[in-house]
Amino acid sequence: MTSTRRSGAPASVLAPQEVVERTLAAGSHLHGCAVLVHETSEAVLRWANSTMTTNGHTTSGRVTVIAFVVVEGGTAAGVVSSSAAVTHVGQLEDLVRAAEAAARDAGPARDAMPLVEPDGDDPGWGDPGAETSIGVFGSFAEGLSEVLAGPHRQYGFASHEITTVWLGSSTGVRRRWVQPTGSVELNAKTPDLAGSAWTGVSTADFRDVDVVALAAEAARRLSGGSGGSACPRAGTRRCCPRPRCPTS
Amino acid sequence: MAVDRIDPEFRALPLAALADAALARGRELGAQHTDLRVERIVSQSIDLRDGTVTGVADSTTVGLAVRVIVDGVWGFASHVELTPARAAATAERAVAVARTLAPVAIERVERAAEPVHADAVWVSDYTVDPFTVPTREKVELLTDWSQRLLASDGVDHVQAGVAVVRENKFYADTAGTTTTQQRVRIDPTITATAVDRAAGGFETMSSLAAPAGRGWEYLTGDGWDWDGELALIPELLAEKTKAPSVRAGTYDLVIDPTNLWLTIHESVGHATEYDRAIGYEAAYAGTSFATPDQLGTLRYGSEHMHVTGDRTVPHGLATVGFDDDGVATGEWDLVRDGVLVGYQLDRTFAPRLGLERSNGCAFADSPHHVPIQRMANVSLQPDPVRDTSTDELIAGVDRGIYVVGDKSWSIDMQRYNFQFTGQRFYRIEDGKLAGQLRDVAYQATTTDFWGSLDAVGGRSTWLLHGAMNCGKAQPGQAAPVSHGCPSARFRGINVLNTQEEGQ
Repeated sequence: MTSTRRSGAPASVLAPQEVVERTLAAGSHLHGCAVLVHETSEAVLRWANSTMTTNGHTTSGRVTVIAFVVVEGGTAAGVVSSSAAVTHVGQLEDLVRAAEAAARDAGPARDAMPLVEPDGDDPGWGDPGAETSIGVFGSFAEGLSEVLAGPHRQYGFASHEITTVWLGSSTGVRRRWVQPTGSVELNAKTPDLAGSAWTGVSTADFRDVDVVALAAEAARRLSGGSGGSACPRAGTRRCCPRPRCPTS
Repeated sequence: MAVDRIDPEFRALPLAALADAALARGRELGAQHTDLRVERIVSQSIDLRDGTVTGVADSTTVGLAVRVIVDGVWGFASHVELTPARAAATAERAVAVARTLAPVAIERVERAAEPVHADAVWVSDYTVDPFTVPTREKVELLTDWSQRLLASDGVDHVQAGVAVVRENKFYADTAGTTTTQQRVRIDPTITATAVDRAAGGFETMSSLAAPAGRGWEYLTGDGWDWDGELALIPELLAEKTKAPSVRAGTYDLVIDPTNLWLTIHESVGHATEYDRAIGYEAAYAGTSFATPDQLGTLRYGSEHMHVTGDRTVPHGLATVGFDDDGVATGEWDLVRDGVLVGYQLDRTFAPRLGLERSNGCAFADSPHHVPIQRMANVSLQPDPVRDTSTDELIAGVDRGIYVVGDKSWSIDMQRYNFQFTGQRFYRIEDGKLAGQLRDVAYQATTTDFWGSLDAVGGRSTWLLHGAMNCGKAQPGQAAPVSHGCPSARFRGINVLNTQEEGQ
């Protein structure tokens, strides 16, 4: 069994690889079992009216257990997840029990398929989760402060998220994947809010983001009228319909 | 002695030690304000189609969040590990966030004062914690409901489901406020579908029951008559399938609370969110036509329009004892005698309106999200003098439509031009209901619509409805919110025929 511990984590927290193995051991009586451990590290920055509004650096995690059981008429699946840090094996046994119960309550699945078999070792399996930090916005914030001092009203959102996922299954699959996700969206408006232009870019690490250039592109559209959208205020019919809430 | 209803698993967390660690580290690092939130949110959803379970999902979200103000700049960080060492490290991160992003914080944070609430405990009003009811029992109840509908002529499919949430929040700040709270909410749904194979169409009829801050007792008859409604749905659906299509034009509308709540949510609730009104959501969720320069002067609607914000109404989805700024909640006016007189605020926004206290609208939907101003229960008040019935409102209409239940809607970024459909529509002729209509949507601007309000029903027509998933902010946050209202009458509203509009 692998028992890598995350660097910097207190000894009381189980490493993701250990979570996978111990969960599969707790579910060894099942027809099949799959475990997903997600660790997400995210830094965000939001601004409006040319000043920062909200920000944050968050570390969250999730353990998802998928239990497969044989029931009358076929195979049933139950899915249970928890975002609590795993500090004792009893939590994992509870998740397995809950997933098994959910499967039995659900009845046979029409789309049941056999679990995939492993196709080789994953050399990164034992590595710890990857993390971002607020420092990812270091040079970006410098550029943004220059943009915010400009003549337009600035609105936007920058987000950098790194998710590490460990997947283990009762058929022997052990895979780890690191997914960086980053983006900036910048919305410049004229002071009277009558003109609005949007620019955005995706990025893996923010080193390639030139926010001054992004803002210049938005300003070019605002002044040139090529692609900028006039958005009249209330009183004009059917302007910018974009219902968002609630989503029921 | 009162029984402690706070979930023992939440009580067992090292809450005081986490608070001590986070607040001390924030102070050491020079933060003028530090607050810690510890949350545990347990949720379950069960879905059935035609009486068979299609999904049961359980999830638990746990974490701690630290918010600091350093030299007038916000910093926020959160973590999943609930240890004092991690709480202190998270406070360090929050301070680092504030210092790193100080160059883009052009405005410095100033907050309204709030009395200290030490060791306060608050639990929402419910009887049966839904998480004490076995899943199998929940599935059996929904299966029984589904089978009752499926056994009726003309019902081809039934979708049923329930979502339940138990939310625990602990909050502590450097001023000395410490609150421990627990809320329970439940959202049952059931929809019958009739398929017209000959014509190739279909029609649906859903329960009018609202999501509510209630426990499992809500599904067994406390607060809603399920037996009565389930017995009626098949015939209501059958009547709807045969109903004539509406003729587009101008009608007087009597709108039932089961429909009007959503119109209030979209055209008043969102429009009186202060952060939207000043442009904080201009690049995402939208703005508001009701800008602060019009406070006290904007004619929102007729003199019958009295809309309040509250976080206190029993069973309200936004109801809570203390908000995520540590503010004791209350009730206040948003629209009085038809005039805009207030906004929904947090402690940062209150001083900008010259107010000494926040009205308690700070909320974060997760330990991993920063609190922002979110919607209170925004409610239209009934006639304070006379208990006018819905039938009496209908009796005052020569040619109109009675609108029941919400369905689809559309509204613009400024919360001004809108259209709404519904579950069912009844023709009103000479003051009496004259059978169902189909394909109705009503369309107006917010101020024309509320300006046409010529009567509100009395207290006996008042009903609390709402939504579990009002969306806002980046990263996206979902908030539960209720809206109470009486039946109400609106004169001369434009009605569209949705079939004709779709051509």
